[in-house]
Amino acid sequence: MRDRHLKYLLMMPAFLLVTATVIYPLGYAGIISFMDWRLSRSRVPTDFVFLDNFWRAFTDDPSFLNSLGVTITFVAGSAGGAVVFGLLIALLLARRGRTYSVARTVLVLPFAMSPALQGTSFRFFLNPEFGIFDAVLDALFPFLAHVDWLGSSGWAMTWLILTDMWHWGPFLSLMLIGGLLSIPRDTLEAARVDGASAWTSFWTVVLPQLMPVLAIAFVLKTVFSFKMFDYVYLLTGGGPGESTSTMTYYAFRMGFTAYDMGYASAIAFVLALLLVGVSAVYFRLLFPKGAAG
Amino acid sequence: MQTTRRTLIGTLVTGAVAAGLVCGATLANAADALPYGLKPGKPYAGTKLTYLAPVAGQYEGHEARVQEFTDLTGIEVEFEFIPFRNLLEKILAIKVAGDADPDLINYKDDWGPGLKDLFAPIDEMMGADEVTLDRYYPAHQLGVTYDGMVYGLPLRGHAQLMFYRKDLLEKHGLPVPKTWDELAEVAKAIKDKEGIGIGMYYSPKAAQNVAVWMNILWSNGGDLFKDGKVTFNSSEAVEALKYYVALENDLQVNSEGAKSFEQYDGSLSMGAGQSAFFMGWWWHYGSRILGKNTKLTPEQVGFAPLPAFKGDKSTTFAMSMPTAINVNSSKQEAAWEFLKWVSNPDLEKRNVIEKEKRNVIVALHKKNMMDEEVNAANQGLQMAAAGSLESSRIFPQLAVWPEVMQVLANAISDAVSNGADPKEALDAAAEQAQKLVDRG
Repeated sequence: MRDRHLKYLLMMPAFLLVTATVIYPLGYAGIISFMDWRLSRSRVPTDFVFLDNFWRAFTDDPSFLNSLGVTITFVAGSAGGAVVFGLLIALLLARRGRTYSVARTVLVLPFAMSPALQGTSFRFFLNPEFGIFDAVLDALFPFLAHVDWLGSSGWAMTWLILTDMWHWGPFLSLMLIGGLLSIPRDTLEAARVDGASAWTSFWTVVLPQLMPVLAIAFVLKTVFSFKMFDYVYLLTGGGPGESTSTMTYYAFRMGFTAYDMGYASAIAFVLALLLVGVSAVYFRLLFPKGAAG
Repeated sequence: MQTTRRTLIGTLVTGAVAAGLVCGATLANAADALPYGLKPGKPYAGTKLTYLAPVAGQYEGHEARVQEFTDLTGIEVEFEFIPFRNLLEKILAIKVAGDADPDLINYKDDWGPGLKDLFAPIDEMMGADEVTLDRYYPAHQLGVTYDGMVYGLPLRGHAQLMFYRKDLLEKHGLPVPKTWDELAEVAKAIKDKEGIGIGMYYSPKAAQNVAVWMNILWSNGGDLFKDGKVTFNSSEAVEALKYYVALENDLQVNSEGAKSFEQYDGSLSMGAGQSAFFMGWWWHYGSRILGKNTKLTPEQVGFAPLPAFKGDKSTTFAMSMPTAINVNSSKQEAAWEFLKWVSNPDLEKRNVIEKEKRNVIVALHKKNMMDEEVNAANQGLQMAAAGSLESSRIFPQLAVWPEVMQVLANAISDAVSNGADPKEALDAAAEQAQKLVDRG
């Protein structure tokens, strides 16, 4: 009897913490998304407008639909890119030894740095007048000498993705190194004895065994990519035009320049629903029913 | 006879004593009187005020001298500085929370219509202390007045100016441009000879491209709104945008990076010797064009009003950053005392002429703008800006203006960077803006 109550008591701190930091804000945002709350008119939500904010987003706001498309493009590029980049680093560094150990420790640095600092730094690196990346790229590829890296839609999105890959790739590589080092060596040796090339071994032995870790890395990165805000705010401001305006950035804009908190909450809630949906699909694919035994 | 004389002497003595008492009382009052209309007798001594302001030399100058205010009134003031980019978010958070702290808030004038119920109207206090807005230019007066009520006093304000490399123009015998066409010609000549052009900016980040385009629009006879209707897709507006885009894409008179530059990058480019022209707020002159880390000297840099598009008169616009009293504050009287002190012209003058610790150039009082000492310390910048301020306009006073401006900034950026047709870009922006205006 006492044990039955004790387990609830032990869960209580975690439950309260999650309620205060996740459930309450999410629930409140959910309520606000059904309300009219224009900060220029009132400091508190006013009328219940049911689905008006959502209806407006999908039927009367091209900027929102644009942000949806931009977000999907960014997620596809950055999640895929960061996982592949992380895998390449992992394949290079998944060896035992002091040098590799030090290299793996250093890999944490880009992830440990604040995204705000990275966004500001990359904006300077890409400056066509004195940016170091710009200078190096101009020297290596003279035909790109006059490219304004953040001045066209294609390049701006590319650099947004590359900046994010630079931040996440090394961290994901640490996850994948763990996965690679846990692959039983005898399976690789058996493939080698059978005459498999390194390429064949990678595709037929390593990759299938690494798939669960890769899938988790991909899910994790997808979720974080959907929430991209920092680099958009600091690097491109959503531009040129609205070509890099992600949903989080657009929700921020609606809240803090249009003062429309109800509408901003609706956009944020659409994003949250999208995330829940994507995560559910991933987990269904990752852990099919009955697979857990 | 003797009685009369005694009476006369008595009367004289009584009169003298009475006169002495009156004089003494007057002198005592005069000794108690405080400058800038501050209340004598330190009625709010011991009060502690908090003041939210953006990071800028001007406010740092106020903070450095605030002990003088405390000595006069017994009121202590604690400054809370925040980067300008985060100021609006902070103010909105205060508004949502209904917070009484800070007691005083500095804000940008075009945010005012959307934030005004956070600020206490100060008309009555101004009337009681005979403080008027006459000491400021009309654009700055308008920037603190919404629906006929005054909500703050302007403490920082900017005029738009064109900064140019005086030395390069002289070297190549080129005139200071007065029209946009002349600017394009002169900039082209400089770019051909020196390899540097106009430090122009088109990025939608911070929406500052709107500020440049608006000058061309106004000078072309167009406007943003008329009778509550969006008119920034008129033929004048389209022509203005086509010209602004052509500077980058056809005439190619800008320095590299203009498509992704915001105003900060433009002035940084000029300060680094990478641009021969820069158009923007005058504060850039003090810190980014002639700051500690720039390559230029005052002798190399000239300034003039922004060029005219058609005719010979340009219409620029001005912005201000007023300080208001938090409507939730329980110390509004003490806050008003501080506002009177911090907005006094003497303090402003000291801020712009004492250059030992910081190079502040921003003045707002008409008398300071024309003051010889002020202009001598700042290469005559204030007098040049005064001419610009006389005919300046301000951003539209709409609660939704910040978002309308962002919509416009995106359209401008789309036209220059992504090849969007200027007419179609402005039509789409106008439709979106009209919905925002109608929604309110």
